[in-house]
Amino acid sequence: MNCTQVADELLAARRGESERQSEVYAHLNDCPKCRELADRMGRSLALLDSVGDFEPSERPWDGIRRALASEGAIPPKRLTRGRFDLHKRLPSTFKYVAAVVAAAAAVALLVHSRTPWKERQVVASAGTSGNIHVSLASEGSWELLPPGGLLRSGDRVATTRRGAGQMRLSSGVSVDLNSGTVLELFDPSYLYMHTGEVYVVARPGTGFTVQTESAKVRVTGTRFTVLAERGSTRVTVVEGSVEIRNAKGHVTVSAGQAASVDKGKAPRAPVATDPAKAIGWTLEPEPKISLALSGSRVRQGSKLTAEVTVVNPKAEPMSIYAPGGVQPFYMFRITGPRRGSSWVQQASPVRSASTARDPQAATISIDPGSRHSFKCSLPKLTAAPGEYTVSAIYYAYRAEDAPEWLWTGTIESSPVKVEVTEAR
Amino acid sequence: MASDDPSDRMLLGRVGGGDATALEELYRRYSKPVGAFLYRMSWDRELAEDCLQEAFLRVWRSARNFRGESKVATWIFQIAKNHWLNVREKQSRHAGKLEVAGAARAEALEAPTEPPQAIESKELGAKVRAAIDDLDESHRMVFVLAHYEGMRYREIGEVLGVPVGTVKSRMAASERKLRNALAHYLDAEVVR
Repeated sequence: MNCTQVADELLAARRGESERQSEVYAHLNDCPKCRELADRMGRSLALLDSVGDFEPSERPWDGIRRALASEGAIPPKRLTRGRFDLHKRLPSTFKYVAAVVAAAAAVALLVHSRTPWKERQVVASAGTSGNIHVSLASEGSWELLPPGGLLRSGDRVATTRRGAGQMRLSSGVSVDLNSGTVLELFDPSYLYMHTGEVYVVARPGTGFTVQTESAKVRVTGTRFTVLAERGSTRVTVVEGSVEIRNAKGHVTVSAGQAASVDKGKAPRAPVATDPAKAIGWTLEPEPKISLALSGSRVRQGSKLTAEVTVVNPKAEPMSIYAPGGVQPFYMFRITGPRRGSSWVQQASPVRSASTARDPQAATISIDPGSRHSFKCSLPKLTAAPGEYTVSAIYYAYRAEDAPEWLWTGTIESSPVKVEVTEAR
Repeated sequence: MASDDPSDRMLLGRVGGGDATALEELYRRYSKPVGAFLYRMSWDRELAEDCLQEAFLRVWRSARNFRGESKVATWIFQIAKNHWLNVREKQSRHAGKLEVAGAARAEALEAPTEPPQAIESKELGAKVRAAIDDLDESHRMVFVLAHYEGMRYREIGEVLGVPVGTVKSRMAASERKLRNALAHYLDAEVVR
């Protein structure tokens, strides 16, 4: 198959409706140009997913019932009227409670409904601290999303003028939203920011793009902030480097530098800055986690003891919130010489009481500046002799029915090597 | 699209016999996808709901005529599509070219109640809609049914009464046109 034929057949192949499915994919394997086309097509289709969600009101069914009643098919029934005016008569506290309940119900419905019709892709979950509001691109109203609530392609996400929020994308990228931020989510590696400020943490090797009105900021594994207001964008890089690009030009900004760009103009040259100032507003500092093993050489089939230490580097108590139905864990990732990684799970030893808002929730609290250590044993390393690496992951959880990517930790220690020698 | 649920046929049989609760169950199953199809064709919630109501009243009145040659869902979509084409024809006869894009844009730009900050007027959602709007009616119908409703090409062919090959080529042309229209947002290829 040549590139032109593949271009004609690609969409059908993506949908599983091409008779030349395997030929298309074989060509994609060998042809970077067509792979780029496939990638672009995927992006375009994800963008298109963002519009037109529709949930009919009661009105059409009321009309059908009225028509059926007039034909004598059903007994006439009093139709509910003025239902939507009810909230005007309620005091505002009730409205707030009702809004929270409605938001929770909407999210529960979103997670649990099993419609055979195509659903928008889940691309992120709300973070464990701060408040973010979510609205469909096609809707006008906003809802407060509970921690851990799922965000889908096409959702518009915002924080209030005083609040800040946090979300975690399925690509593993975490995004803190400063107050007054409005952005739209399209896929796990791309967001469009209308206004406000975000702090992005992308692990090495993770590609991510923030698009604003005036520029596109591309990264591969780094930490940086983007501030967008009135057509101007400012990018500050904490770690790694990012590329800012628009139609007029591009610059690369390295750690400890900042650069701005105005709409319709080329990005300005980067200048030195103190990145600590740019991230002063961010929500949760990353806890530091370290791992020590009882030995660097063990005999095949024997156990290892691991000591995990978690440090709160900030001046305030740090709490990590796990929403109801979700369990906090420590995890260990063990990578061997032959197989892929295996995982060992350890229930969190630090767990405080639930909150009033969510009685099922659990919170892990660590005092400012304190370190918390615990020991646990890792299972017998019975696999082949050779070099293994072990790392500890601070916080991982799994909600029932949650997509698989939520089943990963947020903070991982540096890997520790251990050599497994042959059993005697 | 959903597999042909045998209970759909049972329900439709009961509808044909005048059982309103069976119609209610069919409505519960298909009002959302059929409504969404009508909404994406019109970008007008009120009009989409009116058409949805009329389509299900037609299901009620013509359930006895269902010959079982297609899935029940496909048949309901056919009814909705035919009704939409009638409505559209009437509207364009009376009002010249139907101006729906304006309504869609106005709706997308509605200010959110909370949080209060104004959304930039260059709403991305509105641009996406405008791009879909610019497709020919026949292409747009194919694209909406395939992309948003998740229908197979063969089923779309049944709903629209055109060969599968036509569906496939219309779909490819629509996708290409939309991709070009959204090029600005797609220049964000990931660096890996």
